Order: sequence, then structure tokens, then C-alpha cells
Amino acid sequence: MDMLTFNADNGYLEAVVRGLKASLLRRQDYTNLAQCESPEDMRTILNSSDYGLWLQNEPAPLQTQALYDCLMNRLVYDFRSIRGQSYAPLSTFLDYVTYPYMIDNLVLLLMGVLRNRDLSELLDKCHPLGLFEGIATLTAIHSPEELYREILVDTPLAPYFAECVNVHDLTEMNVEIIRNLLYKAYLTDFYQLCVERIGGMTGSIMATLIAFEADRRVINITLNSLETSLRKDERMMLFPRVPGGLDDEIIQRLGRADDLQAVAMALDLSSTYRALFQRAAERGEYSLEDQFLEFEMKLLRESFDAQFHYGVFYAYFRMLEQEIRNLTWIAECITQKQFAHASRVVPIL
Amino acid sequence: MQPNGAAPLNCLWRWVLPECWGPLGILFEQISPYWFAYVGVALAIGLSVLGAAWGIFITGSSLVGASIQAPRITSKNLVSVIFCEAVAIYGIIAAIVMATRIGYASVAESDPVTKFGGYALFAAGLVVGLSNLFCGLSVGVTGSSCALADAQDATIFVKLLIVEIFASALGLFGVIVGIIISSKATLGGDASAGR
Amino acid sequence: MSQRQVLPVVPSRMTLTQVKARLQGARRGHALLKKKSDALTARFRAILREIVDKKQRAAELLRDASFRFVAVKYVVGDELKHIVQESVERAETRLRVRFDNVAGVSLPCYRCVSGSVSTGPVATSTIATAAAAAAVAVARNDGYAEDMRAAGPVQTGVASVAQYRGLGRGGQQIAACREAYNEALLALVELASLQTSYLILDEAIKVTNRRVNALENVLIPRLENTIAYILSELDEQEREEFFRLKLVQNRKKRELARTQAQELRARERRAAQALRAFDMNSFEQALEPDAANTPSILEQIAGADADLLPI
Repeated sequence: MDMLTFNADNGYLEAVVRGLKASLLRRQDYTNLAQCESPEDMRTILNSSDYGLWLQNEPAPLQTQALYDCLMNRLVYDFRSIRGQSYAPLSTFLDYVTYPYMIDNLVLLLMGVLRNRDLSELLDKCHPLGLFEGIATLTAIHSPEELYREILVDTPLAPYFAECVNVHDLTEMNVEIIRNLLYKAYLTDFYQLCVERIGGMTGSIMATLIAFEADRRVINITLNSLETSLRKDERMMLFPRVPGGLDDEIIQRLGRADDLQAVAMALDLSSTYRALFQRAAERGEYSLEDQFLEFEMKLLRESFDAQFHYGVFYAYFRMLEQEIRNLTWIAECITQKQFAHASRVVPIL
Repeated sequence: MQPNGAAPLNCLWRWVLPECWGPLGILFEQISPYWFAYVGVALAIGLSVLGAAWGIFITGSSLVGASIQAPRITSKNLVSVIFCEAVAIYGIIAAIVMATRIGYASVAESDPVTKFGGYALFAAGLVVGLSNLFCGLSVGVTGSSCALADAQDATIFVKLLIVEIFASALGLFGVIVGIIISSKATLGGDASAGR
Repeated sequence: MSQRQVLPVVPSRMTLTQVKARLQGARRGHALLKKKSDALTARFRAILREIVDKKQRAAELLRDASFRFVAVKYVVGDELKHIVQESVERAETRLRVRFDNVAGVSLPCYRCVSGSVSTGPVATSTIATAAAAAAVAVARNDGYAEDMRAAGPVQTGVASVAQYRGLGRGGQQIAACREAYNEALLALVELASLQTSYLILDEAIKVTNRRVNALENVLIPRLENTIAYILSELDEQEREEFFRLKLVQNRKKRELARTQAQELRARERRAAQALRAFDMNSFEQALEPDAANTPSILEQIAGADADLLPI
């Protein structure tokens, strides 16, 4: 029935997002961009794309940071305009898409509070998508306890905070662990929203995407905590678990893994990640992230194959983020004269 | 119009006869054939317009959205909207044809021909209405996808149009059958030339 | 010219000995300074060569490090910068300064001391900032060196942060980036100590060379000139003395001649008186042959010299 009723509220926005997705840069564009000699050359190429409007007011020697800001402004503008036109379930869904930024921002503020920094200064450094209504009131806060209370009252993240951390944890736990706990709670909640409350096509598409996100976090946390003092049970605690993700068996093994070998053994049980892991090992040098990104882009592209679901909104903003990453990468490579690396981006389409 | 109690009918068949429906059968007996006839006409046009309208909003909202990034698709994809519109036109044609079969009540309502006419127009209206409703939905969904696909890839439109044409043809089947059914029906005086 | 290059001294034997002693001292000082300057120059050249190498290496390392930072940004996103900056607590790497003595010039020698052993991926951009600070310091070295000397072990602001940085995403990249920046920082610190030494040596060599040149081109010539002046003055005085002696001698001779002539005249007069008196004895005395000629010659000389030396 999605087919028949979806378009009443969301047909227009879905089509808009698909149109925007069609104007994302393609492989060929990246090849052209990688040939540039300076960021100014990039501007001439980008002028013919959607970014032309955004870049035209930038002063002449285009800086990487300015480029990044332009791209980010565009992402924020796109998001806000779509969020502004959306109706109930979609608007909730889109809010959920911003929660990761919100988590990042709150962790940043938390760190500021712990270090007695001036929060109004930090507010400028927050990601614009992660801002929420009450965030301005947070600047008047001086102690972690107050922050905790304000978060519980003011932010949409309150349930996650209530679930994962209590007041004492704010000061005692490592902020990175808090961040990952929050992210875990967020993923679980997002999964529930998509599969149980929205359901239908959205549920089935988003289940795949969220499961991948969860799996990626599980593997990353395992790999990155191998040489740290993070305890095994803490590690298990950080693993986000959603149905459709990695098997219990694999998760248990990853939780126990001590070295890269054990991780590889555990992932050997999953056909998807075995392939990714092997390919990453062949390419060498930290390309596992690249492999993940490539795989994610593939999933996101596939989500566009189905119609009448919310996954396209999620997918589009992830793709746009990837595009921003790619463009900044190329711009940085060009500024630093590392031309050979400029073409090493993960194309979206 | 089975002869009443002609033979011990097969039990399976008995429920078709209004006489065998007990009180419900009597209800149908009591309802005027004109009521059936006009409800048939109303179903024909109403369901058709519902289908068309539904199809148009499915197609239309996608078309409007997609045309922001690809304005070139608007004129071509108006075809999808026109196909949906055609469904409503089928409904109107069928309704007009059906309505012309109905005249003033010059004979008794219990007249079997009149009764036949009432049921026939009711059935025709249902056939036309439902087939056009689903046709409209189908054209709407395909039209919406077609608009989105065309926005991504300009070469694909003509191929997708064929899908839409087939979807649109579904409504035509209903109209044809409906017209055939209603052509047998005659109600009332002026239109009683067929007797 | 010649006036300026002569010390204002009274030309006398004593000053001559004094000036001669000063000249000797200046010569010895010149030789010593020359040697120092040579030593410094040798060290300077060595440092210069090393700096060129180190600079290239540091540039390479920095390029690599900043590229790795780009890779981190690619995976983790730009927000990392703020997060890392906020989580800095204290400097992880500190500088120790030791001084090296080369020909009386003390050269600073910086050494990195890591404050804590950090295990996980750590702040990268802060390292970058610190490295940048070091680089700036390298660029405008003088102030840096002053600060260093004042503060002793100085913290460079390289920070150790939460060890779980990048747990969810990009931990490996962050670790690699951190390592690269640490390496670059070491190279930079090395470069900084070389560069500071370079500038200090440069200054020292300039001062020494100025001294050498001053000795060589101003002081020594001036002393030599003074000696020459004193000598010439002394010679002049000697010559004058000689001439004065000669004149005195002449005058004495003239006096003598005049007295002789007067005596002669007196004798002639006496002879004439005797002649008049026919005093044979006195006549013979008057007619002595020598006394007749000599006074006339002396008269002539005295007449010629009269306008030359009016005594």
C-alpha cells in the first residue's frame, strides 16, 4: 500500500531528492577534477554542476576550507529545505538522520564543560545539522550535572542519555565511550523507528542500511580497540546490535578478538565482510575504510532502485556527505601537490 | 432470470438466486431497478474519477518534484497525466452511454426487462468503475516511476511509455465490457424501442 | 687622512714603546680572532649543509603528515579538529634545552621529551598546531631562542588526548597521522636547534669578523702610522739638534775669528806704535806671517752666512 499512499505526502520530496541525487558528481567528473592543477581549476569544473551557485561568491584563490564550507552550506541548505517541506513520519525520520551530528555536538559540549571552556565559543564549532532548539541555553552551563539535566530536558537525545549514562558517568567515563554508547542507542532506536513504526518498504530498505552501519561500527571498534586498554566486556558493550547485522557468533568472536588475525578469522564467517576484508588486505594501507565506503555507496545506490520509501532521503544525505569528502580530498591533494592520490576517491554514482 | 424453482438446483448455484437469499433476496426484490441503474452510472463515473485523480496525484507529485532538477521532463511526462485523465474520460463515456439507456418509468418496476436493465447497468457501472480505478492507480504508479526514471535518464522514456500504455489499456477493457453489458439494458418508456 | 690614522700622542721615546706594545697586542689579538672566526665558519658551514638536508627531510615529513591528516579528515570528517582541540589537556611532548660550546659561543641544542607514553590514537591536529608553532619558530628564530632560554623545558603544546580517539571510525588513520606528525615534530625540533645555532653562529661570526677587520684595517694601521709618526718626529728632532749644534759651532768659530782679528788689529796697532817708537821687539811681534791672512777669510764666511742665519 506504500505505493498508493506514499506520494500523497512524500511524492514531491522523493522526486526532488532523486533529482538532486542525479546531479551528484559522477566518476567522470572525479576523473576530470583529479586532473586539476589548482583549486581554481576545480571551480571551473564545479561551476557547471549544482555547486556553481554556491561557489560563485567565493573570492578568487579558492581555499580548501572555503570550498569545504561551501559544500557543507549546501548540504545544510538542502537538508533544511527538505526537512521544512516534510510531513509527519518523514520529518521524524529526517530528524533521526541528524541525530549523529547532535551526538557529536553534545559530546563536544560535554568535553568543553569538563575542561571549563566557554561553551558559546564551542557553539560555533558545532555541526549546523546537529543544532537543536534548546542548544543556545546550554551555553550558560558550567557543570556536567547541569549539562546532563539540560540534555534530558531539552534535547531529543534524552532517551539515549537516560539509557546509557548517568550523571556520574559524564565525569568519569571516557567521552569517546559515551559517544559510542550514545551512537549504539541511536542506531537501535533508528532501527526501531524504521522497521516497526514506519515499516513497509522503508523498513526493509533501512534495515539493510542500518545493519551495515552497525556492522561497520562493530568492526571498527574492534579494530581500533585492539591496542588500547579497552576491556573486552566494555568492547562488547559498545557494539551496536540490530537484527540483520552480523551473527551473534561473529559478534562474540569479535568481542574476544585480541589481534588482527582473530578479527580476520571472525569475519571469515560473514561472506560480505570477508570479501571486504580480503580486498582491503590486498590493497594495503588502511583501505578497509575505503572498502566500507565503497560498499556503503553500493547499498545507498541500491536503495534508489526501489521507489516509495524514505531510504532515499537517508541515502541522499549520506551520498552528499561522501561527495563533500571526495571534493575536499581532491582539493587537499591538489593544494598539497599530491596529484597521484587525487584520483583515489570513492565515487558515488 | 432463472425460472423460479425449475429444478432442484445444485446447492452451489442456489445462492445466485435472489429468491434463495431469504430476507436479503426480498430486499433486492424490493429495490427499484432504477436505483440499481443510477448507482451503476454513479459507480462508473465515480470510481473512474477516483482512479484518475489518484493516479494524477501519484504521478503529478513525482513529476513536479522531478521537474525541479530536470525541467525538460515536464512536457513529455504530461503524457502520464493525460493517461490518467483518459481514465476519467472512459468513465464519463461509459456513464453517458449507460445514462442514455435509462428513460422515464413507463412500465412496472417488476417488469423483467426493467429488472434486467437495472442489474445490467449496475454491473456495467461496477465493471467500468473498478477497472478504471485500478487502471488509474496502475497508470499513476507507473507514471510516477516513469517521471523519476526520465529525470535520471532521458533515453528511457519511450520504452517506459509502453508500460504506461498497457496499464492504460486495462481501463479500456472495462469500458468495452461495460458498454456491451449496458447495450442490452433498457429501462423506461422512451428507451423501450428495443422491446 | 694621515692625521686621522694617527693617535693623538706626544711623540716621545716612552710613547713609542707604549704604542709598540699595543701594536704587538693587537697583532696577537688579530691572530686569535682570526682563528676563532675560522673555527666558527667551519662549524657554520657544517651546520649549513646539515640544515639543507634536514629542511628537505622535514618538508618531506610534514608533507606526508599533512597528507595523512587529509586522509583522516576524509574518513572522520572535519569535526575531528574541534573535538581534538577541545580534548587537549597538557603537552605530551616537551623540549629540553642543552647548550653546546663552540669557540666560546654557546649554541642551544633542543631535544624532545615525551611527557607520557600514550597508547592509542591521539590528537593529530593539535600535533599539527604544535608543529606549525615550531615551524613558525623556526622561521623567526630569534624570539624563539630567547623564549627557550628563558623557559627551560618548554611545552610545545603537543597534546595527549583520550586514547580511544576514533574508536568508531578512522582509528587507524588517526594513529598513522599521529605517528607521522610525531616524526615530523622530531625533525622540526632538530631543525629548530640547528637553525637557532645557525643564526647565533651567524651573529657570532659577524661580530668576530668585524673585530678582525677592525683590527686589521683600522687599529693596526693606525698604530703603525703612529709609530711611523713618532719615529719621524724623533728623527726630525735629532736633525734639528744636529743643525743647532752646527750653528753653535759656527758662532763659536766666528767669535774666535773676531777675537783673533781684534788681537791682530791690536797687535798691528801695537806694531805701529812700536814702529813709531822703533821698538824692534814689538815690531817683530807684529809682523808674524800667519796672522795677516786668516782674519780676511773668516770675514768672508761670516758675511756670506749673515743673511742665512741671523743669530
